[in-house]
Amino acid sequence: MALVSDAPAAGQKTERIARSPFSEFRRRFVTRLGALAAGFFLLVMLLVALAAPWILPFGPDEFDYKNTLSAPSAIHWAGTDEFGRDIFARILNGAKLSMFIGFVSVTIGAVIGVIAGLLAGYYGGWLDSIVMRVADVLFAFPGILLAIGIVAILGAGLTNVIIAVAVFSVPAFARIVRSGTLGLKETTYVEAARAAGASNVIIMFRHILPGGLGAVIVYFTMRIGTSILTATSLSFIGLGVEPSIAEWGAMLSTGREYMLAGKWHLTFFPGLAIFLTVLCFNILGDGLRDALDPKLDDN
Amino acid sequence: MTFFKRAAYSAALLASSILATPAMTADLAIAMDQIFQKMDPHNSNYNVDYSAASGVLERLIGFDHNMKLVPQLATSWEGSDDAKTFTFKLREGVTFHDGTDFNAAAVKANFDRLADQSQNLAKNSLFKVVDTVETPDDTTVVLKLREPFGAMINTVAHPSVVIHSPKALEEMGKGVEKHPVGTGPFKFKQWIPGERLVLEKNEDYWDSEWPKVEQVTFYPVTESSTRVSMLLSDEVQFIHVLPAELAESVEASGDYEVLEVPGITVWTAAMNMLKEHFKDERVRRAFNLAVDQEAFVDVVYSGHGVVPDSPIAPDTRFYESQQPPRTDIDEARRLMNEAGHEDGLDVTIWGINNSTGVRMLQFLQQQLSQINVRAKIVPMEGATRSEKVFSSMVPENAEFDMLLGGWSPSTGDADWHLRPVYATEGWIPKIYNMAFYSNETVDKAIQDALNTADPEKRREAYSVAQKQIWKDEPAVWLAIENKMAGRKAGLTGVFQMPDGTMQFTKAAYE
Repeated sequence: MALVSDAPAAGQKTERIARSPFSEFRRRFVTRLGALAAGFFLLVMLLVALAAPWILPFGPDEFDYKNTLSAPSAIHWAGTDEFGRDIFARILNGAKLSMFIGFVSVTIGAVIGVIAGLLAGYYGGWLDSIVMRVADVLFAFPGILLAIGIVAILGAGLTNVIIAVAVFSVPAFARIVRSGTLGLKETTYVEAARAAGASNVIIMFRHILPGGLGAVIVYFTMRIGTSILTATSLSFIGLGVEPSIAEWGAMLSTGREYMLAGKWHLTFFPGLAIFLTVLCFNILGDGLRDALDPKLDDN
Repeated sequence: MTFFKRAAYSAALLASSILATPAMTADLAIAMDQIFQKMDPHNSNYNVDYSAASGVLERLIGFDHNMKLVPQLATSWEGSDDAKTFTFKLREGVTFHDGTDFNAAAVKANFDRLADQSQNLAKNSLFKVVDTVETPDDTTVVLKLREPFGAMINTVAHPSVVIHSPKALEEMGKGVEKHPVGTGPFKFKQWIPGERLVLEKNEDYWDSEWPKVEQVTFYPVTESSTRVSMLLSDEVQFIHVLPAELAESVEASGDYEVLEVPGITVWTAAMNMLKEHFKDERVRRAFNLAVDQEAFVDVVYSGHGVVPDSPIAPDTRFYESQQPPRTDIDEARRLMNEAGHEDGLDVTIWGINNSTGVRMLQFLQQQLSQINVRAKIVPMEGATRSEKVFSSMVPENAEFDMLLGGWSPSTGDADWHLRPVYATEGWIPKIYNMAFYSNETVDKAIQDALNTADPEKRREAYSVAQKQIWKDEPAVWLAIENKMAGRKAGLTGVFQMPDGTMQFTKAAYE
């Protein structure tokens, strides 16, 4: 999210410099209509979800036992569930929640992973070995299994889901940043900075980190999609948020009971929401990668 | 040319495969809603265990589909007027699957085992009153009780009071829970825990007319829509339990039938009366007033059930109807304010994590939110729940404020509902008093009823107990759901019971 709105703004500042990397990025990114559309969709979804309490006549937890399991209609756009709650309102609440879980957990994972990777790549030696072996161990678990394990230890609940998803995002960020750092620390401009007397911290964060940031941003975007998928999976199997909370995975889980009874809308809409969101984050990530990679020439 | 050849071949193959399939195999497959724990009903609290084991292990007395007593291994029985001596006449010419003869000594071995406290069996509480088991001759068993116990005959008919082969008990001890040996119409064949349980026909069954199917396979399938899919794809011929919301889709085709009987399981949300806020009867009253029971039955059971109007179900012996629960949010709010909970109240509700259980929890949470009660709901997986509630529970340290559960008296008698759930002796983890309810009048009435075999006196005593419990409201009354099952058309003799067990020994295809 932040990226779509930030990048052009940052680009304006440097517009006068013909070959600024930002304007180059912007030039490349705007040609990728798919990624633009995906980013636009996500932005609109988030805005509508945030505004939902003021524009929707129903709250996500408002029950109406006389109007249960009704099919989509002009009043209830996505129908109602087994408690007569408006599914559309719940989907929007779920969007807010999923975006929040995805964004926060990946941010935590990214911050830890970037610092660990930077230190490991820059200093090398035993620190590098430890960080990379820990990353290998974490990598050895399939993502969802690791998350289930963490939630099993910490207990279910929103905070623990965020922690679980954050933990399994760490190793990938660490690896990406480490490999970037390994290459960049040998470059002449880093050497020049060191010769000028810059401290290790300055070199790492001011000179090396920005160089590897492109890859981090791309991975960050894609990772949000995966994280949302993991968080909803956890809720689906009952290890995530409390089942009464309007969350996509929890909605799918309670709604699947009614699938055989022909009440398709209880599962269709949350399923569609998960599908579109994850797809959009991936398309957006693809677009960003193409736009940020200087080796790719789109002409 | 080759195309036609191939087509002809495949047509022929198809035809032969259709012809080769017998019209209807004489095997029976059943999907159950819970995982089997132990094939030793003496040491199990689970209806699924009782149900499956009933094919292998028989009782002296059984129940028919209306919970009326019918002879099984006993041909007749009688109780003395003082309700302290009970005599059973046994069936002759019966042998166990391992060749051992069935006789009075075999029954004594089993009854002694149940009454032996040192064995720590789950169903020891049913036989606690038994003093001695006497065997005057090979076909007579006499139960002598320590004190009068009017409900003894129904207790002997409880699905857990089965007769194991004494030889098996001696050789395997607790191992019988993995390999039961009994006198039943089916022999134990194989059990892969969590996957399937297979029973095969007993060729030497004492009633030569039965059984009529060669093999019975049970599948534990906790996911209710999967159970329904298995029935609709003919993978199984009977499913227990059929979730009410899917009844219509089962009935739609006409190839399957929905069986529905009034149940005797009363669902409640017990309020932990050791907690300060629930000691106040105004709070308990307010909670009951806040919950709309009619809506509960509609939402949770799609209308397939009734609202309880007594702590026990209408079909339980000695039931007496009380004032039906009503809903009054304003009154409830007023009571909460009066009790000093103007700022609301935070409670933790434990429940079960299957789909119906989660729906119950959510419903309660919604209803209680109307009187400013913020409920944290904790759905628990079956094994976790039984560990937390029935083994490691220390009443004073109980973490829950409310505990959702249902109890059905499988003896069909008021005693085995009121005593385990509302008497002081029933406090969890011991039996099922989840509210830690303790009332002298109730304890005394339950005891009075036990001290006599006279039905009229028992009725009076249970009336006192029901009135008092209903007034004290140790639980939020929820529902008595109809017991529902799905069955392939043409199958007979397989059905569910009002107490939540099922029978299949007289299964036959028309």
